[in-house]
Amino acid sequence: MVSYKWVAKRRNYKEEEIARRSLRTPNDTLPHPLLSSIYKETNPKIKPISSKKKIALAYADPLSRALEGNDPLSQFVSKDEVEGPELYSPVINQKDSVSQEWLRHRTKILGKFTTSEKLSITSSFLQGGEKLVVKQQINDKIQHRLQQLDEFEEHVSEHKGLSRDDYVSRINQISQELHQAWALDQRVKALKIVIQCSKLLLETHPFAFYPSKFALITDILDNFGRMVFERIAEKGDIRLVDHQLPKYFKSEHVSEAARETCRNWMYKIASVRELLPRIYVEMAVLKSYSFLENTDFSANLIRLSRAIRGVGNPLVAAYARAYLMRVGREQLIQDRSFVIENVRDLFLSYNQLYSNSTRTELTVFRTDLTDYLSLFSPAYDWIFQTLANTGQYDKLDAIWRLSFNQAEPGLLWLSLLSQFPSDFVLSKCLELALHITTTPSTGVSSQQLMVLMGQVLSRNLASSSESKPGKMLNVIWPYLSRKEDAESYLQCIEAWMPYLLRHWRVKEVHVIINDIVHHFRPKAQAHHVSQLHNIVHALIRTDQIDYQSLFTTEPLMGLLDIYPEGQSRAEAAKILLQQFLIDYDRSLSHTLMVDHLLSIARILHDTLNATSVEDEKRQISELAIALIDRVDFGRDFQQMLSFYGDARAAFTNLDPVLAHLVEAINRLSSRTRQLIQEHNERTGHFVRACGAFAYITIPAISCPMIRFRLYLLSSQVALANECLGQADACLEGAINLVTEFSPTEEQWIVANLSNLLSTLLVQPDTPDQNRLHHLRRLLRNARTFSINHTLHRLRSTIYLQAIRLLSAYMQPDYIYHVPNVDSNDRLYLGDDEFRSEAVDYCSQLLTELLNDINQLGSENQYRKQACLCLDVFSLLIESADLNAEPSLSQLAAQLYHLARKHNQWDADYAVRLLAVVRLRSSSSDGEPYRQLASVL
Amino acid sequence: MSVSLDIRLKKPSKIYREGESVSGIVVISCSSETRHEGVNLTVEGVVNLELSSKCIGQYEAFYNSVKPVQLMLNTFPLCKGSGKFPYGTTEIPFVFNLQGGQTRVLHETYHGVFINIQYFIKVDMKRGLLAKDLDKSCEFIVESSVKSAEKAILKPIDFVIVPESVHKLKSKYNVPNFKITGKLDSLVCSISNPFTGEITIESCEEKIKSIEVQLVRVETCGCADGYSKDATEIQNIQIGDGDVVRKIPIPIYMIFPRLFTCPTLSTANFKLEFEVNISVVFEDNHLVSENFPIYITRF
Repeated sequence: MVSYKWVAKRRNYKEEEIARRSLRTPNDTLPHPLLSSIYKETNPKIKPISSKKKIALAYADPLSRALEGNDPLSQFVSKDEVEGPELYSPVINQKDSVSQEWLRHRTKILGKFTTSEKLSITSSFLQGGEKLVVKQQINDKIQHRLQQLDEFEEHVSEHKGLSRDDYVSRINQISQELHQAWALDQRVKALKIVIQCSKLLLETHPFAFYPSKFALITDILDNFGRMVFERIAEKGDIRLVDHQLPKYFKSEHVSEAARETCRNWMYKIASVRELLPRIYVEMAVLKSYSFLENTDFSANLIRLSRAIRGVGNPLVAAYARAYLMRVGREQLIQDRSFVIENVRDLFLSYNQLYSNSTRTELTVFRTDLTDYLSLFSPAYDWIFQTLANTGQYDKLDAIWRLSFNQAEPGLLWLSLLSQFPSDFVLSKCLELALHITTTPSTGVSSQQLMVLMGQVLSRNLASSSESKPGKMLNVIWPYLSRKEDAESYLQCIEAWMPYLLRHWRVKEVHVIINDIVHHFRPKAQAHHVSQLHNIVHALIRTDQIDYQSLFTTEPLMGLLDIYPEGQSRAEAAKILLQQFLIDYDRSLSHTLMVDHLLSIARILHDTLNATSVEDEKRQISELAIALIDRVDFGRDFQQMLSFYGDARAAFTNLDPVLAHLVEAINRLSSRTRQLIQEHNERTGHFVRACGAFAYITIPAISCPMIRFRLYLLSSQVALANECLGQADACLEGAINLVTEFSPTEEQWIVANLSNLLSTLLVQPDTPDQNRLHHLRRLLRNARTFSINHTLHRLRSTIYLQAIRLLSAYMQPDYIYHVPNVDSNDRLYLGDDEFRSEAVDYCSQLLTELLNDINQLGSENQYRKQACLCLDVFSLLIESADLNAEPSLSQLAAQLYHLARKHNQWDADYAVRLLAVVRLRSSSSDGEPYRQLASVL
Repeated sequence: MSVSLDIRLKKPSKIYREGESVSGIVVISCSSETRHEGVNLTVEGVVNLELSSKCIGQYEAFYNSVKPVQLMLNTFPLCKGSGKFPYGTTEIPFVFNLQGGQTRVLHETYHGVFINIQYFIKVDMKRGLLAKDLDKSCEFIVESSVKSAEKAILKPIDFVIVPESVHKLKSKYNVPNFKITGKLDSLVCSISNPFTGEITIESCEEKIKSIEVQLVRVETCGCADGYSKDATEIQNIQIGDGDVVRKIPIPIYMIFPRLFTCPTLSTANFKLEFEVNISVVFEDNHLVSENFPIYITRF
């Protein structure tokens, strides 16, 4: 193998720069590559959804900043939001809204009211189950026998011991049975099924399930009502529009046959023996009255409403009233007198809830009065919501007044507060609050009411209807702070927090927080956590929050201290930090505030352990980084440095934060230098301290690649700041890491090693080491690394770059310098030994490369071989002095031919290289290039 | 070779008043050509009287008085003499005037236990020797016309039930203390309007189980010297369920069922009267009940 002597080409960088300057074109006019074209076409009407303001904003990724507007997915969503409702006509919309609302209500009921007790269902339309003899008080013997015959036919059976799910599936079964009977034209059976279903509503035990039972059974009733209605419409040849009668429908249009059918239904229903089924079924088919007469149903509704007076059980009656309200509401009746009538009846029978008989019943079933009363809420809510929907405030006012006449109006107030329009309720709150706080109540506690009132007020902070916040606070605060029981106190304060914050000044906010802390000292229980979170949320979310005072004073830290354990406290800390970083857009310079924020962030950090998931770490890191970035003490660099020190101590487990700190500290050094221009003694010490900070921080990071990058960065900054020793140490550290790289990141390695090599050019050799100590170590490490991971390509690239570096080393005046730092060109000025050593290294490296080319040839890897050949060719024509060493010129020609030999080369690359050769040949010392060009 | 007969009245409700013309069609559907010896249509109105089982024997003496009373009987030939019906359906329209005999009034249709007043249209087809004669009948409903019927007059009544007013059946039973008041809007009721009123439990010691309105028919058969009188329930409508709230008027509301009620009627051979019982059932299944004879009119 021939060894070539490397002769580096002499470069005059200044001339080259001047010669090439004209070739450069600035490309600022081009758009940002990430600003995708689609955003330019988006509809300007669609505004970005501001509610999507998430933590991402706390730490804005510079890349995503380019994406103005919203992402394509949320665009679709917002489009739907805009266009969706417009598809429906307003009338249907109104009706829809009733059924939609009911659906929501229904889901809530089904979710809330369940029971673990065993249920039973009595029906003649279910398979299996026990035979049940219905005992009825019938004196007439014949009739009794007839009854028995009936039972024989119908197989009334009782299904006992059903779980909730079983019960629901039985109800579904009945519903299917109904559909089946209907499909088979067995109308009488269908009616019987519905009657039996309604009868189930008479049985209130187990209480807790009753609301759900109501929801399930009214589904069946609704179905039945619709089937009857549609069937009659079909018979009368009336085309329904979306299940509704046409707009100009008159009952005279209905054929006599259809009316007769309808009349038959009505007569049949009117003769149902039992009260409750009769009422329910009639309510279900109410709509069908429109076939008989031009009615707005109000007379019927009032009659039904009165008939409910006969229902003795208050729970059953309340739900029957709720169903009546729903049926009435769905008919879009203008005349809402039935609503008033219904509510008045409700008030008349209200004290039944507190009657002795109810009490006895509750004792029998061992049910708490509070639990029992809570069952009424869904029905009452619906009833009062309907009342509120009439929008007649004078009527609402009358009802409100009436409620005060009741002995125990708590339950009513619960529904009134939550269902009446807020502008109506707000003006009444003060009076009510006075009443509640001074009067004892049973069943519904004053606290329950106060919580609700707090929620209502807190929801409507912006409203002006509530006029006397001062008085309200005077009523409410003593009430709240006097509460002994931690649970109820917490519930109340949670509800009232936004209201209190809205109407109280900063100083008083501390009073609130202190009061909370006082109630829970020393530690809150684990089940208080979510409510405490809500309080913290409220605290940080209010509009007029004064962050400065909040974060510089002790109470907040006290609040965090009463959290029971690490995880929940961290959660609260997270809430605080996230919201703070979103809302507080200035930079932080208040020492105490920074201190507190740091300790809050530290709470977060301290919850991390080996089992923490990656995403959580990432989130916390983002928060910490955002916080660190926010801190700015201006020109007090010393303070910054000590803050970074604190931050490092606080976030030892978070590599991204540490990495960020290293970058921040380097920025700090650079800023110092920028300001000072020339370091004096004091700044010199300071930047050294920064360098030391970086140097001791980096090893704590686990990823070798990040460490490498940071070492490199730190060395560059240290060099710029004339801290040669630190720069040297950092380079040493970086080079030591080469063997630890991940072999999959080849691109990254090449880029970063090249970066390192460029830095080496200006880094002067240290006297106590060999010449080019760093380069040699780097090459050794790179070689080991490439052999370990069989990355030949990587090694050859590094060799090529190293030859380039060495060629640059040999120039008398380097291409770039660091101000005030003497690079090797000055150190080895006139030192031939250095030059010959460099030449020697180059020759060795070139030999290695040629060996590689041979090796590839012998392995028949012609494509790789061609590639490497062209690379070396490029190196030769670029960096070698072909004039001085003709053998190199020959080598270049050989390499070019070799590359072409197997026709697997990158032809474009070759063409470009040739163009360079031709370009060179036209210059003054272009003789060898001319020769070379002629050979190729 | 099957033939079927069907009668279809023009009015779907099948309700006709005296003097109105009843029209409809007779539908004859044949699966092949059919011979016949004549088709006749008969309109018949009849009162069937029956003695209740408990008085059998005792009243056999006046057996005569309980034979059916014929209100009308008319026969019209639809197809005179013999002829043929072609394959498929043949529709023969008919129309006749609803008119009672000279002496007989057409009573309203009524379906009861011991008394039934019914009107039928019958079609029969004679078919020679070899084939069976076919017939088909169809009931239609008669209501009295405006001019002949009585009008309801308002006759409200208030009532109070207290333990003292109760006529005890069993002396052993300790009547609880209660006071029930109420009113009925009218004791003379139009059959097409609901029976209305209200009842208020002013006070009651015992828990209430149910409040019910019972409609009772009183059917009397026979003549002056011997008759049977039976009261049976038509329907029982619950208006209060469970221990209802005190001092609130609970509406009484009952619709008179069709067919099973008719205007109160009194003839030489039979009488139809109606009563309403309002009863309050206590938790221990004892009940107090107040009886109100009512007079039902058509309008």
